[in-house]
Amino acid sequence: MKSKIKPMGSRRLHRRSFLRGSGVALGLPFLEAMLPRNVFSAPGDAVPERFLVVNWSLGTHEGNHNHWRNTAMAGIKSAYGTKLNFYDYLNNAHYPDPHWHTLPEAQFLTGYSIQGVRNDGGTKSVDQLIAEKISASNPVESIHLGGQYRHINHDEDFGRRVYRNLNYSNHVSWKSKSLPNYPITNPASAFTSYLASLGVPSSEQIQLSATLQRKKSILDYVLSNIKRLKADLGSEDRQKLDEYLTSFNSLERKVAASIESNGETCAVGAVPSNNLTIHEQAAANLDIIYHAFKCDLTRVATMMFTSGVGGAAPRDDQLDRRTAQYGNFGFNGGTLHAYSHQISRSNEAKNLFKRVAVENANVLKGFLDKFSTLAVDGVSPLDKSIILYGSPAGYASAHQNNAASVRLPISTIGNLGGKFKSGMHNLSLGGRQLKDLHRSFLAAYGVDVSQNAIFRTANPVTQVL
Amino acid sequence: MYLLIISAFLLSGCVDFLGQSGFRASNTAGGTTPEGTTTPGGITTPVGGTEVSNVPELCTDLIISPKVIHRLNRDEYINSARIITESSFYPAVIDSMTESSFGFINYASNITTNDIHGSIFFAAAEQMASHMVQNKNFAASCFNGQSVQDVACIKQNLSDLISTTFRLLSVPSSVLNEFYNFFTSLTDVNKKNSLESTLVAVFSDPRFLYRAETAQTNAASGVRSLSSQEILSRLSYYLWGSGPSKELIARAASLNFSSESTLRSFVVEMLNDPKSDYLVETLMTRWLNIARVDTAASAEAQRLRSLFFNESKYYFKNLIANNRPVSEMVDSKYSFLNKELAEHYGVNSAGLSSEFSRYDFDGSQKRGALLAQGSFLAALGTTDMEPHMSHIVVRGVSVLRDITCTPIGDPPDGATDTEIEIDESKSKREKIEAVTSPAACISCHSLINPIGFALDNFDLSAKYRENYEGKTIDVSGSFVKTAFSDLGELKTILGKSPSIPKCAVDKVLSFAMGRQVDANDRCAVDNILNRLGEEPKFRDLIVEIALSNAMLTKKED
Repeated sequence: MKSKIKPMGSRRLHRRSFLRGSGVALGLPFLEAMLPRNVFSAPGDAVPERFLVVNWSLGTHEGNHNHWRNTAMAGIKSAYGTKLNFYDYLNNAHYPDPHWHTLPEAQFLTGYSIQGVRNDGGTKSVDQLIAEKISASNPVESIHLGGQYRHINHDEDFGRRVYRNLNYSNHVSWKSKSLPNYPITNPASAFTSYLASLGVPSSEQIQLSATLQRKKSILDYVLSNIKRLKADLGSEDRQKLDEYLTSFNSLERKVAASIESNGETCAVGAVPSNNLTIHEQAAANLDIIYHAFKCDLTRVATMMFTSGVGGAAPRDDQLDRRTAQYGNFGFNGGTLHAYSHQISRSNEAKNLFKRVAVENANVLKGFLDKFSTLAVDGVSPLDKSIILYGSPAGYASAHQNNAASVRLPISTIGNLGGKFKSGMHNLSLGGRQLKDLHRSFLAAYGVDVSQNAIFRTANPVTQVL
Repeated sequence: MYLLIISAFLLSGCVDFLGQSGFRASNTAGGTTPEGTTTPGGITTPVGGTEVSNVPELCTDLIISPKVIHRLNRDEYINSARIITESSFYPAVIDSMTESSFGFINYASNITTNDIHGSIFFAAAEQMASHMVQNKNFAASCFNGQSVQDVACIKQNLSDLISTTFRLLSVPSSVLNEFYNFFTSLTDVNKKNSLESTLVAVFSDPRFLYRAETAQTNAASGVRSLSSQEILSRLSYYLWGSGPSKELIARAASLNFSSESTLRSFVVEMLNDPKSDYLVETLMTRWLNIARVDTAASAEAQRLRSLFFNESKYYFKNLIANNRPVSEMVDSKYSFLNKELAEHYGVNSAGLSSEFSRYDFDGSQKRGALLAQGSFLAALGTTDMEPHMSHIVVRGVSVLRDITCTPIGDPPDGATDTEIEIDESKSKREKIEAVTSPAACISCHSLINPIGFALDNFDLSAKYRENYEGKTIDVSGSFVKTAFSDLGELKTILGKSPSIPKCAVDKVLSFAMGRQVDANDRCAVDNILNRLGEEPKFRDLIVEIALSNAMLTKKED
């Protein structure tokens, strides 16, 4: 018997029973009956401009994304069609260079090809440029949440750097050309860090105030020490210490903002539980973003369903790996990435990608439904925002060839107060690059890109402006 | 994950193994950098620094790559917290950092700090401060009720704490006064609360979280030798994975590190301390991939993972504690087993208990050394998603890449999309040979496959087998143009290879430095090898790295 296989190929797939029923409820309880209370927002900011990126990895199971557009996204199209754009024939920055289909994550928001060495290119990503414009005075300039990621620690110790480029599949946002914003992948940690102090019951406010004042005194003191040490260091060391300075500045701003809120609180929901599936975790992440938007903690966020590579088999005590394998879909034999290799010859793999696409869209719709309740005086937050929803890879089966780089499944929801046209369900862009769309976002938000090496050379998509 | 890893092993453009992999004489000093520029050379001593009088080096072409400021990773933070609190306590909140591997890796340049880290470090500092004041009664004798009774007492306690936390041989009065003034500036009625807040500030300070080496040099080379304080800090994190204890600081303060014999004795003392177990476990888990046994593909291997882990741990402890030859990492006839593991391996378990003890295999048994240990074999197993590649390629690449430091690049573009006709009636070896037969693949797979084949007598849970899918497993091959008939002969070839100690120096030095060893370190590596002599031994290797110029000098960026 003879058969044709690819060197990386496999034709055997595990069939295991569902670990979790498909009826498992996603997301957290919808607690807010009241209209939002923007604790930190300035007067007159009834519905602020916001920017959200929701990203999934590895593209879809078909090159033209018809299933994704017509079936997976049907619910969103039905409910938010006038605010929805689909883009077609949009390429990522690697095109036409052959590449790993896992690399595009890192350049999804930069529009710049990053070929395996962090410092050889890239720039501040589009979300960060927008954050500087619309969220700089918020307690947190931007927040970045994610799902399962690939563990790389053992690969980067002891001189083992060969898998280094896989690192890039773990993040989409870049603070600078060499400093990624790694997403927080534990929703409970993200909740505790960002939201917990906003929802303290009023009976505890007096105690909280004293605690916050003390905390702020210490933070101010530590910040002065960080700045002092920084002055004694070389340039590269100063850059590393800057990360700590930024981190503490952010904490100090949050504490200061909590003090300034003068005891006012903003309902933030419940702490997400552990042991979540990938989609439950995505829903929990988007719930945190919803509350962060509602309380005006920030106006810019990114959320990745998973990294572009996928992790190893989860261990019971490793929360962040537990959801790695879509076990609730009955696919335990490999990661989503592993299944992507099977798409051209396995219906099982195709079906997994279909179901993931549908469930991803359901999670996003859950967020949109909730986000829409933040309307004020009839103005929907979607009318003051842009939500970028898409994947930096095209056809999921493609590896190291151009099919992964072209015809990306990309959509936007929102029209930014009319500054960004919407309702176009098939906007063919004829092979233009993702950075051109980013340039359009920047133009709509009024971001000056004259000093930005990447985006100043991009040509905005005029059809949406 | 494995699928992509395997794809990375379908390689092209593989360098000439014999020419560049380290199978060469080690003394290859030269006078230029790889780019051909003249090397800077010359080491100066900074103010407050020490001259280190090393034995004459055969290679004088000393270039040190800059060492980036190093934030404590998770393990280092926890170990340091235990040293500072002199207890098993560490702030539980630091565990929440397990959400991301970023920050736990060893390379300083790759350890990043994001928004959430600030919150976590601050919360950890609060927990540590609370533990010190509430549970450890820190400076309690200095108080009378809620008021300070003895200022000198407060200052002394603070000074001791700052010394351990910031890894200082002596605490400058300016530093002590900084924190004491902060303490007095707080207006709590209960000054114990002020003290707790001051401790939060100490534990949040970058001088704790970052291993900064701030002394400057005016030398044109930008290279200087480290001060005793800086040496102590580097040694402590290298050998213990923590800051130095109060006792170690006191001992170091009484010594002159400019004397090599003094420094050597000091390093050996540190290695004799149980805290050096950290080094043993880190070497084997991270360098040799043994941590991956946690995610082994085989359910049986998962079940046995703690046994596998212990076998390797005892083996490596033995190599270091008894200063065994580095070659024994790959070539020996013994291991450390307990009854359950011996039974799993199918060797005589008579006389064994649940405790691990040295086990000498007889000549007919194919075991002994790392390559036949469950941790190594199971950690590199792959899932059935990859029946044609399986663990053979992964194991082969791991031996080449991690144990011989053979440089292996990425697979060629498009290699993995090429369809190859496979005869399903063939053996696994024949299928793999067919899959890797394209010209773009074979240059590297001619090196990778024989090693993987030699290890194929061991299944994914490290059980010995003679057959697979009804066919006899052929484990013969050749390595570095030397034929072998089985794993035993391959181990002998590997054991004699100079690439093994050279690779060990590369790997351990990179861990010690917290950065990748690069071409600039060639001279440092060669000097260490020269000092190790004809038959390098493991404990000597660790000590010589501690005493090397790479460890005792710094180049400013």
